[in-house]
Amino acid sequence: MKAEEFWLRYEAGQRIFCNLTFCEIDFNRCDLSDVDFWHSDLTGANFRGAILTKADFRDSVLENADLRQADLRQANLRGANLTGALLDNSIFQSAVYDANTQFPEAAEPWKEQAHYIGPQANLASAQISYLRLEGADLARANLNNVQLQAASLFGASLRQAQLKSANLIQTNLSEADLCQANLKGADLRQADLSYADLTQANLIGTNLTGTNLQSAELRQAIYDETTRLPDNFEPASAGMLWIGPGACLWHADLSSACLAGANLSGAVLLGANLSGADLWGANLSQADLSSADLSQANLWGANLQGTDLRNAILPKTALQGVDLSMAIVENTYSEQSAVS
Amino acid sequence: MMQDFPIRNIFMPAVLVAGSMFSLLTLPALLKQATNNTTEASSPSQAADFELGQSHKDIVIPYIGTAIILSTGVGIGTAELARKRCAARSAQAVQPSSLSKAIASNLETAMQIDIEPAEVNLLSPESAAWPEAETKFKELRPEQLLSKDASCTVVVFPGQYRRCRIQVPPLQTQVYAIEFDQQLYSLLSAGISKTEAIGAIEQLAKTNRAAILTRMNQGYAVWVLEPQGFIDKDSTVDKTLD
Repeated sequence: MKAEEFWLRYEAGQRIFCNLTFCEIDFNRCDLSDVDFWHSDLTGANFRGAILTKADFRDSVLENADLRQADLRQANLRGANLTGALLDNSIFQSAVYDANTQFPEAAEPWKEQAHYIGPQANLASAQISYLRLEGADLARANLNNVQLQAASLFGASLRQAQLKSANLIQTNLSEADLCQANLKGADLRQADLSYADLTQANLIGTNLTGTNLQSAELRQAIYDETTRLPDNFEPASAGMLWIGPGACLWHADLSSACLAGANLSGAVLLGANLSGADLWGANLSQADLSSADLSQANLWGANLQGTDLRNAILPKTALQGVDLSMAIVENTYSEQSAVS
Repeated sequence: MMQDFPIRNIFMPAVLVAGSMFSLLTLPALLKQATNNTTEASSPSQAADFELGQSHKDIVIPYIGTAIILSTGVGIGTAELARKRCAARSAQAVQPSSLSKAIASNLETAMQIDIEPAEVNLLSPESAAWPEAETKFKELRPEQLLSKDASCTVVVFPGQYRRCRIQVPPLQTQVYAIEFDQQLYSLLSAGISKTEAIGAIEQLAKTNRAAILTRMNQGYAVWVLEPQGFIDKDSTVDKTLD
């Protein structure tokens, strides 16, 4: 595409210019914020001093492009080929890239506060509101305290991700995979969670006021009295599990659940699967944990006074500092448990 | 609703079953008592009157009360079963006229995009009883999607596609995609306007890249055909939206 045709379309309001060829086109000091150049060939293009905030360069070719002094804040560089590109004094603040992004030799985008997007990425406390991360793979990523307000994570994989106290107000999480994600204390007001998978997610203290939960999968997601749910939403009918004193959780699957500090005194956890669960400092006094699977669970500092642990499975369970006074531990399988 | 579930099919069986249940519970006992006391009672009601006047009053009244409650419960249960059976029957039998209405409704109100009804059947997300066997998606091949106008833009709705994560060589990472009509489409853009979506599809068609649209709560999503794509064995998403 030639420059004249591009500007004609741009003036007409077009912002998606995908799968096109713009070789050696001159965008010197132009404002191209929010333009989508997905899969386009921009080899040798001149973007010197251009405003490219929130521009989408996914899978595009920017080989030998001149990006000096360009403003690439919140630009999407996932899969982009920047080999040989000139990046002197360009601004990468809150731009995103992934394992497929090819930077010129010696370029260190992380020093410019660009964020890596991928499994197990560390985006804790990142300021990436309004960013478009549709379909991104952020499985097991650390997104604690992240600012993702009004961002688009449509179809993103956030499986087992840590999203504690994350700001997800008005965020599009439709079709996202949030299975086993930790959303403790997260703010999801007016967020779109339609068709999202929240199976076994931790929603303790989560604010879901005004959230769209149409066709969302919430089986065995945990919540408590501090969770704020949308109006007229019935958590029990959605298969959610209430966490609190006297909770009925027999045979519940709480494997790998984060229940640190939870008050489960007098709860019925008979036969529950708590393998790998974090019960650090939890109050399990007088609870029925008979036949429960606590293998590899973390029970550090937990209160197990008067807890029924008959036939419970406790191999490799961390029991340091656990108060087991009056606990019933008959027939408990506790080989290799770390008891101090 | 009453037209769908007529009195003849629901309430009559319920009344009959409840009546039979009540008779079954009360008649034998009353007849037995009547025989034992060698009364002249000629009907069960008279037998009941006789019994109520005797010392057995304390037993008979709770017994009849229990029988009434049980009979009513069985009657309500019968009515509910009959209603569900009627609903299942009507769901199975989707009339061609209602299918046409669903398609027309989608064409006129939901999309306002030129789509050839002869080739693509559309289903609104609200329609629960989509007769899958009647879809004609397989008639629409990828080469047909490459038309340079929007006349054969394909829009698919939840329930018609399957979410997945795919590998697209040479990319190292997984890509969010959908499987529709045995083809894999990777996500290009989401939450965009209808005009932007059609414009993107037209651009892609010019460079021989086929694409389809899905409708979202807010706007549309564009998905690009990935002939080289394949579903990753470790893919964590494997669902049909419905």
